[in-house]
Amino acid sequence: MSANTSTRDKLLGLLDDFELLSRELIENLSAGRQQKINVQHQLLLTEQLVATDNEIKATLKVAEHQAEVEKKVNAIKEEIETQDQHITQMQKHFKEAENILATALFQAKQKLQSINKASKHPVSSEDLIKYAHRISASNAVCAPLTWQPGDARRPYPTDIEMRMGYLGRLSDLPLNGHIMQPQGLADIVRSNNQIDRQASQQNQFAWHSTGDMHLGVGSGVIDTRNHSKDVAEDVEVMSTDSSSFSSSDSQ
Amino acid sequence: MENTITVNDVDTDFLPLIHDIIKSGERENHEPQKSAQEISQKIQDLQKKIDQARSDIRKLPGVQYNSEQQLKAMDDLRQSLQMKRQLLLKYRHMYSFDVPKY
Repeated sequence: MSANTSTRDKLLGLLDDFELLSRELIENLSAGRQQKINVQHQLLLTEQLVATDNEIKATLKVAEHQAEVEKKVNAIKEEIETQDQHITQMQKHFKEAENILATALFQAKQKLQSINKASKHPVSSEDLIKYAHRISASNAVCAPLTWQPGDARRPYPTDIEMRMGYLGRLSDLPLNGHIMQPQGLADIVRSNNQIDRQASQQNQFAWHSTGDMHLGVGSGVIDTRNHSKDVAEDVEVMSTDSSSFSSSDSQ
Repeated sequence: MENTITVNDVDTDFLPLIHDIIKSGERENHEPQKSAQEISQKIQDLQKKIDQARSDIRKLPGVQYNSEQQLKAMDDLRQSLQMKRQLLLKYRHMYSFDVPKY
C-alpha cells in the first residue's frame, strides 16, 4: 500500500504526524508542570518529533527531484503533442494525395478503355470529316442572338466560309474552273470579326447560281453577309448542300 | 501555472517554534500571565505554519505520484515519443510509388 502512496500524501501524512506529536509534547509539558514529569516519554516524543521533521525534509528533497522530473515529463508531452500535430498533418496530406491519385487513376483507366476501344474499331479520317460535316450541317443547337428570318448567317460555317477558311485554301485548287483569289489569314480573321458590324454595307461578295464566285475586297473588309433575297437563298442552298461540299472535298 | 510553487517556497521549519514554546513554558514560573499569552500565541503560529505547509504541499508539481511511478510514466512517454518519431521518419522516407518493372 505504501509503495503506491504518492509523495503528496506521504508529506501530508508526515505533517499530520508532526502536528499530533507536537501537540502531545506541548500538552505533556504543560501537564508535567503540575504533575510529575515523565522524562522518558518526553524524550521519546521529542526524538519522534525530530525524526518526523527529518523525514519531512527528506521527502521534500524527493519532491524537489520529482518537480525537476515533472519538467522533463512536460517537455516530453509537448514534444509528443508537436509530433502528433505533424502526424495528423501528414495523414491529411496522404488523404488528399489518395483522393487525387484515385481520381487520376480512374481517368487514366477511362482513357485506356477509350484507347483500346479506338484501336479495336479504327475510323478513317474521311469518315470523321464526313461525320463532322453532317453534325455541323444538321446538329447545330442555336442561332446567333440577333438572327432574323432572311439573315444569311448560320450557327455553323457556311460553305462559303468553309471555302474561305484555312482548310479550304490549303490546296488552293481551282473550283469549277475558277481560282480563288489569295487572301491572308489575318484578313480572314478580321473579316469574321466584322461580319456582324458590316451587315448594312454594300454587298461585295456574291454567289451566283451558275456556280461562279466573285470575291471583291473593299476597304480591306470582306462581307460575307448579304441581305439581298435571291443571293441569300443561293447562299443557303449552297451552304446546306452537302453534295457540293463533298465534291469539293473529293478533289 | 500561477498556483504552482517550488519546494523552496514550502516552509517546514517547525522545530524552532516548538523550541520557543518549550522555552516560554519554562519561563512561566516567573511571569505566569505573560507567559501563558505568549505560549498560546506561539501555538497558534505553529498551527498556522503547519496549515500553510499543507496548503503549499498540495500545490507542489509532480508529487501526485511517487518517484517510481513518475519515472515509469516518463519512460512510457519517451517510448511513445520515439515511436511517433519513427513513424514520421517512415512516412517521410517511404517510397513515393511502386514503379512496376516491365
